Amino acid sequence: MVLRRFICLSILILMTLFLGILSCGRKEVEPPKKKEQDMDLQTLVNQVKEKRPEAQGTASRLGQKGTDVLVPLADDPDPEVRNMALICLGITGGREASEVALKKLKDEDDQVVAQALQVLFKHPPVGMEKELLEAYSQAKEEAIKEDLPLIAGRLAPHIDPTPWKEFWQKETDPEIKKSLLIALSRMGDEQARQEFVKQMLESQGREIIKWIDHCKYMEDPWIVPHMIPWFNRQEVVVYLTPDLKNKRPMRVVDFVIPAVIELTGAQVSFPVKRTEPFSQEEIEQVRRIALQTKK
Amino acid sequence: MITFNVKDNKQIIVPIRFARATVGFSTRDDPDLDDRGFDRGKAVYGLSTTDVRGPLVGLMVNHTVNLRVVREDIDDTAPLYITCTEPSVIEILEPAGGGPLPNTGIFRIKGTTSRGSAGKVQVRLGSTSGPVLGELEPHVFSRYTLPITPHRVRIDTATATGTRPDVPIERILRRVRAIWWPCGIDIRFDPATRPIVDDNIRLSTVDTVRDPDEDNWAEVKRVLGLQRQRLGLAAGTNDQSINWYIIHRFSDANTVGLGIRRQLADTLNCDPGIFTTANGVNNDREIERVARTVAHEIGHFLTLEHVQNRHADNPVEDTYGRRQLMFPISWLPTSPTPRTLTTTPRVDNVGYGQEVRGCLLTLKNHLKHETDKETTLARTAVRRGQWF
Repeated sequence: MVLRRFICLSILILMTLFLGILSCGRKEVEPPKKKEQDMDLQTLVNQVKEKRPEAQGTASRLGQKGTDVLVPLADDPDPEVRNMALICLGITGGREASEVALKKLKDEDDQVVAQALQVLFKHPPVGMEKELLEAYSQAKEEAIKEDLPLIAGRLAPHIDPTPWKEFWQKETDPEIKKSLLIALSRMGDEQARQEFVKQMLESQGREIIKWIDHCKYMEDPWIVPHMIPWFNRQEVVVYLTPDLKNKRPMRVVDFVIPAVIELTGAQVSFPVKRTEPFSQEEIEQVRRIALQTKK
Repeated sequence: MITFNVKDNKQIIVPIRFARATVGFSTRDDPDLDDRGFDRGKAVYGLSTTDVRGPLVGLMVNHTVNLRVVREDIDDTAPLYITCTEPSVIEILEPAGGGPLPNTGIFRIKGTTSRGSAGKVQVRLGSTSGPVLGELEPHVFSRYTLPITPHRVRIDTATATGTRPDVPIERILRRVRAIWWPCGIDIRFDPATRPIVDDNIRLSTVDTVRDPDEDNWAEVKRVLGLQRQRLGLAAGTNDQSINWYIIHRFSDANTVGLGIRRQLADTLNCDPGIFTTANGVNNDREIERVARTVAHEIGHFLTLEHVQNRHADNPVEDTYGRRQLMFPISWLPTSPTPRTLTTTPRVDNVGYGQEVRGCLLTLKNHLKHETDKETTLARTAVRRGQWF
């Protein structure tokens, strides 16, 4: 009995010692990491306060772990510090970054507002549809009214298009109305999609490039079959290097092809990112992909 | 007091017009005016409108500028007064009380807020309530700051060490800042936060970057990657700055500047940036040429195209086009002699010096002009982050 107690006690003591050693060991491993991270966080705060571009690299390294320390800096009295804090929040991301950006739409400095919109484009505020609607309704600046629907559209399919459709039907400003149309098309509203296709096919010249960007914004192949008429558009719309002897003219179709490949995720036998126009053979290869894509 | 010189039973009387307060290189205090015609063209989104028939001018908020009234069909002694229709937005600082205007014709105004319409600035005859002889439409812009980071790139090879190029960076960037200032875009060089970077890189020829017209972008891309490498930026993150790389030369000596804007950078899978060469930049004329080149490339960064989409091999010939920053050639092609009413180009000095391209950034949006409303387009690009 005594022996058994002794053995049990010995085991208990040994286990305690073992766990103690383990935890001591952990203490030796963990602190440097945590210390390093704390140092990085402090570095980030200092860099943002000093408006140094290195803050972007530090934010990149920290990822979402950096968001917490950036949040208070977005309220700094110096608009340039607020701006840098938002640039970094755009890099670190996370729900808090979107929350702060939404609040900063009311900032008195236009550049901070513009930066906040960019954060929201990059990190759409999931679960904050009501706040988005509120921000849209209260906004007086055309720039905010133009951008917010596009941000809301990025929440599709987890967003109710109904209130946005009401805004679309009532809006008279042509640019804001167009943003609402594009966003609603992404949200899946059939009426908006029909109007989107009509307007995109009516576009001319350099405007087409903008509509190709709007098509890419859909991030869904439903639009691809509607892009087929553009495969015949051979007119030059952009010179990639207008200041060089070889100006590298790009036709409408040279912008359509990468967009279709991006939207369908299709594999092709030629390099897509390039500074030369596509050959007729390459165009036909992608046209076939577009023809097989369902509306 | 007003001169009538009727011919064939008609004459358009232009008592006065507005002009830049200075000639020669751009300065922040003396903005150029978009005086291309009396009409203001199509409505420009985000730009409030009035019924003005006259020039438009851009003002940075809270910055005092000089503008000039030029007397045309009116004699020099006629007393002229300056008024504005929105005194809560536009302050007339000189002449005190609005007039009379001094002989120089120069008056000073300041836009105090970028919210709401700035109305019209008017020139009146005799008193501040006299008849209106001419008017202009100011637009007050809030400040968007674009930081610029200059890099002096020393190019070594495996066997030779290059030399560091040197140009008067601060002077060049002061001029670049002046050119973009009336658009409310502050191209900021701040040595405290973004000092001049001395980069070293090893390429195939000492002091030389291979010209991309040889369709070899590899060396250009390596130089453009220096800033990303220095800041330790992850893929998908871009430095929010204009990175300006100063090199000695390109392999093709005719290439003196190159801008890789976002659109091209995406295609090449690299970062955007501006290159200028330092060789021969040792006098005022060349220094100003580099400033114009950097400002012009920034225009491309901010989505602007060459005037009427016509390039160096076929540039527009009208005087207004040659006065624009986005004219494709830095030194104006000379006008033919002898001049007649039909020969173009008509003048060799558009207000910025002999055979020097101008620095006007347009506000108007004329119906048959393919590349107009540059100020609005540039500001939209900044707002949407389409430039970095």
